[in-house]
Amino acid sequence: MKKLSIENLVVEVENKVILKGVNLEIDSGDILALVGPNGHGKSTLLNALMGNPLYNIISGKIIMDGVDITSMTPDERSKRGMFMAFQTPPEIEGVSSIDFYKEAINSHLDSPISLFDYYRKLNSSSEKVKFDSTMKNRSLNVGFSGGEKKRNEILQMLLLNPSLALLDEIDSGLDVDAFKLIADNIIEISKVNKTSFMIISHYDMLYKLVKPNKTAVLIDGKIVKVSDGDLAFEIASDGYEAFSKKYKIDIEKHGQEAPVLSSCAAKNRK
Amino acid sequence: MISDGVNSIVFSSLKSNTDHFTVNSLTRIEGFIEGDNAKINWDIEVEENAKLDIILFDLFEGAREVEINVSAKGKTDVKVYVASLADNMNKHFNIKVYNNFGYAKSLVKMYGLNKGSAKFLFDGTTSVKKGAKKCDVRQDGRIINFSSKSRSTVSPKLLVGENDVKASHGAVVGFIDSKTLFYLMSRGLSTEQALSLYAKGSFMTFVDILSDEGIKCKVEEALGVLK
Repeated sequence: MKKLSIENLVVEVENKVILKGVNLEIDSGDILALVGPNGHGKSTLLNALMGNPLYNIISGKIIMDGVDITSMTPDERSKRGMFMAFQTPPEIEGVSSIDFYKEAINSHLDSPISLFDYYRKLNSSSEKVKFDSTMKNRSLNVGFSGGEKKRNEILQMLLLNPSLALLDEIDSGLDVDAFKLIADNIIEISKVNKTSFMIISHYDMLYKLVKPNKTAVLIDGKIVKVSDGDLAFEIASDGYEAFSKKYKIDIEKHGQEAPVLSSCAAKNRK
Repeated sequence: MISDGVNSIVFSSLKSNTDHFTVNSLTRIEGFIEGDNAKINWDIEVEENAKLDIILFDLFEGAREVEINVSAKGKTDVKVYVASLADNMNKHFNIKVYNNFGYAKSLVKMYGLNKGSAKFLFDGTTSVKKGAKKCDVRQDGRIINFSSKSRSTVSPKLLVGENDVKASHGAVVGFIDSKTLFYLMSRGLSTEQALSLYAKGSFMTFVDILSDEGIKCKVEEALGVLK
């Protein structure tokens, strides 16, 4: 990916406007720290970029390498090189992880991957995230610990080799070793594949390891400031009140609370 | 047909069948339903201390009318599993288990996916007769709709005439969880591919219960070409 441009993006969820005109650009190789207080729209932005149908784009555009992807489905965006690591990956009983990875890889190829290449790729990627070989044969995310689910997200990222990766709190619930493992993989894929990243994290430890080159601050549904990576550390250290005073930026949220989206099966509505 | 002394009954291509079984030992009935218009009507008597497992797979398009009546005549253990895929032809599964004596156990589990506009009905009746103490019975019915035109109903009935029993049921009709669908699609799978993978996965949990290799192969082959 050479460039992602987000232009005046307005997004609503369950009839509540969460993003109120986001403008942001990500260039090839950027590692962007997306920061902001809880509930101001960070996850909403990532979900809207990935095409989550629960997040309704009212106006604005998402342009990826000159192509308007605003109306594209999630699979179309994935095939264009976008990837999202979920904050809470769903458990899908019966769908074996190993079958799923192969389907996902094949969906990005013109012809199916050979078994030999598939297992070679899977084994080397699993080794990089220290993903237990027995887990690949289990149902997708079923019975995985929180840390294992996050490793599984990074494994899928390595298998799909995206040009833009959106990481939604990939570090939450991880122990120190898993933390470093994930950070190492982010750094490697960024260097080797020039993958761009947009990362949400509440811990500056991840940012210290991956060293973002950009920080975007999202307050009340808008990007209020873009600066270099040091801004993420500054906010982690001094807090949003200090940020507000220093840069004379209002950090209050105006309007309704963000809705909590449930994940249970939808009932037939007739 | 009397299955006295026969432990396994396999219907590798079950089209239409009316039969009566008497089960007096550990018995498994496994069937793979095929054909345009399959009508199955079974009456089964399960004798004291006998154990019966019924596993039916129905993965092809075609109308279905399946009625299974199981009469448990003692301290028995009855399990009935049905896995069915509907599209545009109507399907009706009616499974009844009558527990007439104490300490009987029964489990009825029906799982379905409705891809199209079929009228898809799971009817289940589990009864516990008055005086049949310490029975442990459960009924589970679940249909996932893939289309807004799907017409699915799960209707479990527990007729319990005795207080000192365990009896429960579950019934779900709904759409595939939107988060699950989004997750699969975010990895590049189209809606159709995601639903197909989900369908295969859902049925695979029933495949593990099968013992007949011939039916297992048929199920896996049918799931492999599932679209």
